[in-house]
Formats: sequence, C-alpha cells, structure tokens
Amino acid sequence: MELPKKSPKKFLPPFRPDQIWIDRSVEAHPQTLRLIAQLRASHIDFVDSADVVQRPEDISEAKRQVILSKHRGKSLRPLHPFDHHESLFELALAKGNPFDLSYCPFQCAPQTIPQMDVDFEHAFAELASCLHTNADRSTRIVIGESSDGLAFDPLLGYAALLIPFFAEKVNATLEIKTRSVFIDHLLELKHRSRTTFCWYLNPASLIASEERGTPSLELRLEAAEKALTAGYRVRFTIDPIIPIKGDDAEIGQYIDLISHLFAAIDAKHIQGISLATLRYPRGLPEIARKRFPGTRIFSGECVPDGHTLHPPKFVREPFLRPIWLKLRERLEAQQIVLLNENNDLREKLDALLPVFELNSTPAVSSPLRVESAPLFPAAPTSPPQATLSFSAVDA
Amino acid sequence: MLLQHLPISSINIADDSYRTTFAPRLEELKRSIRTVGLVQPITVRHTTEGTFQIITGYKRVLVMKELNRQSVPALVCEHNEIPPDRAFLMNFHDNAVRGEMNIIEKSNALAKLQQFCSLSEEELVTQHLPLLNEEPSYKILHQLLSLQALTEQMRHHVVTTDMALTSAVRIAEFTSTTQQSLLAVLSYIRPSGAKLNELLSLIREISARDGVSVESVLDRYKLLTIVADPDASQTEKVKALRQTLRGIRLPQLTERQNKLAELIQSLELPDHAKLITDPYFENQKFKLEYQFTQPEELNVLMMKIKGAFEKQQWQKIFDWYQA
Repeated sequence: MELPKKSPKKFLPPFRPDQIWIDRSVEAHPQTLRLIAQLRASHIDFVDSADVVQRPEDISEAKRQVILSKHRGKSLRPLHPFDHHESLFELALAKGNPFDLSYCPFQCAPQTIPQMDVDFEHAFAELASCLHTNADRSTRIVIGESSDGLAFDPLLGYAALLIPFFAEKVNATLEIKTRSVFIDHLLELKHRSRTTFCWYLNPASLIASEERGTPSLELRLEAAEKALTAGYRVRFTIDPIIPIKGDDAEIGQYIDLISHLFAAIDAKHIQGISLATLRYPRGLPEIARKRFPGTRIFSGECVPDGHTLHPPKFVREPFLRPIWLKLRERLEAQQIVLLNENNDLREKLDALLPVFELNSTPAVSSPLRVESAPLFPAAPTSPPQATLSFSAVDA
Repeated sequence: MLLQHLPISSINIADDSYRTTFAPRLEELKRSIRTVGLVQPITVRHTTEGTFQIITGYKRVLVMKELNRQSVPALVCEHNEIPPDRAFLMNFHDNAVRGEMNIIEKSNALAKLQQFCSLSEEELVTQHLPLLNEEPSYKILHQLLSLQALTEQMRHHVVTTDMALTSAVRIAEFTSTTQQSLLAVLSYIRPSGAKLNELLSLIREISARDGVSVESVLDRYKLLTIVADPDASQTEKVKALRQTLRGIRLPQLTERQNKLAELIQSLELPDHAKLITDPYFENQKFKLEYQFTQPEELNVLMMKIKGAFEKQQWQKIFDWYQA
C-alpha cells in the first residue's frame, strides 16, 4: 500500500500574546511577575478587573491577547462519563484558545480573549479535594475541553505540576487533550502511566485550511511518538469528521489519515481513537465564513438537531463506515469511540466486519517505556474502556 | 447665517456632499407644503464657486421643485462661516431627530461622519448610533457601514422593499456583479426577512459546495424562470424557489423525504390520518395520528391499515426507512 505523502513540517513557536491585560488583584502574584519577565515583547496593561477589558470584535485580534486573572468560581466541571464506573471532570485552568479553528462553536460567543488564572494553586486545592471525595472510585480528569490542554502550558507550566501530582494518585488519571506539540519539557517527568495524551487529528489539508496556528499533522504524530517513548499513554480524536459531498475522495482523506497514523504509531500502543462528525450552532457558518473566506466545511448536507446542525444519519453512516472498518483492521471495537452516536450505529458498523478479522485483532499493548509498576494492574495490558460521550471542540 | 429667498435654479441639487437622504418618500411632505407652504427654511452653504450646497432640506427642495416653485426660503452660510464637518453635523442632527431614516440613510450618515468628522468607532457607537435609534453596538455599526458596498440599484431595492438590515448585510457581501444577478431574481419576490436570509444562505452554500459563482448557481438551476412565472403568486414563487434551492442544497434529504411521502401515499390512509416520522430520519419511530368523530371512521382506518398490511406496504416502509 502506498502511504500518503507526508504533510510539510513547519516550525511553530509557542503562543506569545501581543497584549497582556493584568487584573490588579494578581499583579504581585509570582506567576504574573514571572510571565512579565518572560514576555518582554508583549504590551502590558493593568486593569481593575478582567471584566472591564474591552473585547475586540475581531476574534483573531482577541486571540493575540491574554488576560491574567484571579481564580473565581470552580475550576472543575463534572462531565457525563462514558464509563459509568468512573467519575469524569474537566479541569479548566484557562478559557479561550490561541488556536483559530473554523469549526469552533465558541466563535459565536462574545468571550473571546484567552483568560488564564495565574493563581492555579486554588485549582489544585479544588482538585485535591475532589479526588479525596471520590477516593473510592476511579476518577478521570480531563484538560482541553473548553480550551486546548497544552496551548497555554508554555506560559503557565501547569502540566509539569499536574503530571507528577497524578503520578502519586491511586485511583485517578489525567487526560490532556491537545493540538499542541510542546511536550519536550514533560517527557522526563514522573508520570507512572497516569497521564494520557490525546491528540486531535485531521487530514493534513483540513488542518492547513481550517486550523490556523496549529501544528501540522506530522508534528502532532511526532509529539505522540515522543510521548509514547516516554511511557505515556496516547490516544487520538479525529474531530470533526466533515462530509461535504460524501464521495470517495473525501472519505479517502480520512482513510489516508488513518494509514498515516498507523504508519507513524504502532496501533498496539494506541489506547483508543474517538471519532466525531461535524456539529455546529446555527449561527456559526455566517461568522466563520467571514473569518475563513475559503471554507467549505459548512456546505455539506446538514439537518437541525435543537440549536445545532449536523450531517443526517444517512450521510454520517456511510461516511463513518469505511473509517470504522479501517480502524478495525488494527484496533478492537471497544477502542473506538463514536462521539455523539448511540450504540446502534457501532453495532451496525461492526456487524459489517468479516468474522476472521474480529478474532485476529491485536490487543493494545503497554506503552513503550513503563516507568514503574502500574497502580491499576489490569490497565496497561487490557483494552481501555471507551472514554468520552460528549463532543469535544476547542475554542 | 442669513435668511434669503433663493431661486431653486441656483441650488446645486446634484452636489450630495452633505446628503444622507436616499430614495425619499415625498408624498406626505408634498401634501403638507401644498397645504401650508414650507414651514422650515432649508440651510445652504455658499461655495467659493458661487453655487449653493444643500446642508439640510434636500427633500424640501425636491418637493418644491416638483411643485414647480421658483424660490425657496433658505438660511445661507458663507463657506468660511461653516466648515464641512460642522455642515455635515447639522445635516446629521436635522435628519436624526426626525427619526425617519432608512437603513441606507443611516449607513450614509455614519460613513459621512467618518469622512467629515474623522470620528472614532467608539464615538460613532456611543454617541451617534443612539441618535439613529440603534443600539450602541459595534456589530450594528459595522453592519450599517457594510451597506456602502451595495450597488445603487440594490440600495433602491433595499429601501423600496423595506429589507431587514441582516438581509441587506448579507447581500452587501456579494460583489456588484453578483448583486446585479441577485437583483434580477429578488425583484420578482417579496420574502420575509427570515425567508430571504434562508434563500441567500442556500444560494451561497450551493455556490461554496459546488465551487461555482453565485451567478452560475442562478443560471444553472434556472432560478429566474421560477420567480418570473406570471401565473404564480408572490407566496407561491417564494415557496417554489425555496423548495428548489433546498432540493439542490440537501439532495439526499429531499430525495428521501419524497420517497417516504410516496410510500406513505401508497398506504391510502383516510383523510385526517397522518403517519408521522422524524423529518430528518434520525429517530426510527413512527407515529400514526388520526382524527375522527364516529366509530365508523375508526373502522375505515382499521380496514385501510389492514389492507396495506396484506399488501406488505407497511413492511416496505419499515424496511426502507430503517435501512
């Protein structure tokens, strides 16, 4: 089989804002002082409250700014778990996202300037309390739902604190969902396989046209490989899958992506892959079309479902079928999660597989480097439980 | 500033330097002037070339001219007496307080405030939009200013059809050539704001999906022929256009909906009986709804259902729907 041509690698510096707004309540916080020293090229303004910062109407301009603020409210948000035996929470240490995605529904929201709580010791205290309360059951904490899990890490450095924190936990794991590739500083950390990195993937052409400011597919796969070598668990999310005409050429892009992924990363080391078809609020195409004039992603056949639009089942199903079958060549059914779909569809798709393939699918193996004896004895060698049942799209 | 009676011929009506008025409706003013004469003098600026520029009172001059009056009472300012920015502000406030400006006039006013007075967006939003009876919002400011991209003909269409701002903004995003092609279609119909927005979105999405121009979409699917049907009413034309565009935009859904309608038709259910399904084919459940007043009517339904069962028609629908 001929592998798809690799997409070009491009150097992408970590996020550096042009403008920083500092809430006076955190002006003397050590994190703020460190950031001021680090970001000398950025223009800095002090404000009495983050609320008074005027949001630019141009989202791209807003994404080049950042507000450093004080922690308010809760940092942990319960999510609906896919596996009812575990508790699932999102840990939000920042709002907004420097990455600019044409399909991001948060483009419709007025809150656009990325905002980071510098005093994240409060978030850690809340996290510790939550894990203590849920000590008797398995708990998974996800970062990267309402923001990218690592995009702000080069500034804040929270991942290097979270990963060792979870390494010490018995019944809790961390999942970092990201498009970022800045993980070198995390590779030597003590993690005890308690942290999973989940990279969002899409065909290289789609990344180039619809995901401004994000690392290329090549770089993401390289980062995943590094994470695996360092003993971390790795999974992927192909999101959003976008049927436009639904023809072979379009499906072929996703098949090529999977071939590319399996060529770069041994499927035995992949914990799982989630798939999600496009879903967007009604008002998004008008906004996104102005910001991404060349985009065609909203021109596929879509039907309403409440306040959102999505491809109808008779479009999704034939589109997902070959993708599912391609993944099933190397992964077990329970390693593949169909986000926003009910079980009927996965059963229907799996019923299409020849029986011999079902029996010959390899089980997922442990990470390349096991740092220490696993605290969940069965976890590294048994297939992982399907993980999420909600749509994951970053701002 | 002196009050004078100026010959109308001495006023340079073509000079639109301070004009915001666009496609004015003059009937009421004409009736008023005919009845009581001109109550309020116009204001003009005497230029160095010796002509008179209208600062306020463009509509009054038009009416006086239509009524064949020879002169008009005017407050005359010398060119050095009033700078252009001040002159335009007079016009703006004169029109704004009347509260009768259409969206093109509001757009003109804001564009000229920028041009003459070099006002910042913040000043326009906070100080001038409220005077135009608009919310002090940057979004509205940008929407109104975007109407400057409308062609002259389209501006007339916007005003005469009392088009909603959101629709006009969508049209202003098209090139002038595209606007001209669209106008050919739109001139035949008067859809509501929501319907017009839907039609424009459908056309744009088809154009994006097929990678062809809007003009090609209009031409390829003969949309002009649909709206130009002399036998169809306005409502029918809009409905036909919407159906055609939805069929092109959502071909698989339309085909399935048509097929389902055909299958349901074959059941020959009695009147007032409806087999209801999810229009988007997500939900697999069917619902049968029937209104009746007599037990005999219920019997008719039962017989029809039974007959269709015997002919395997129900099975056919279920098999097709759930496949």
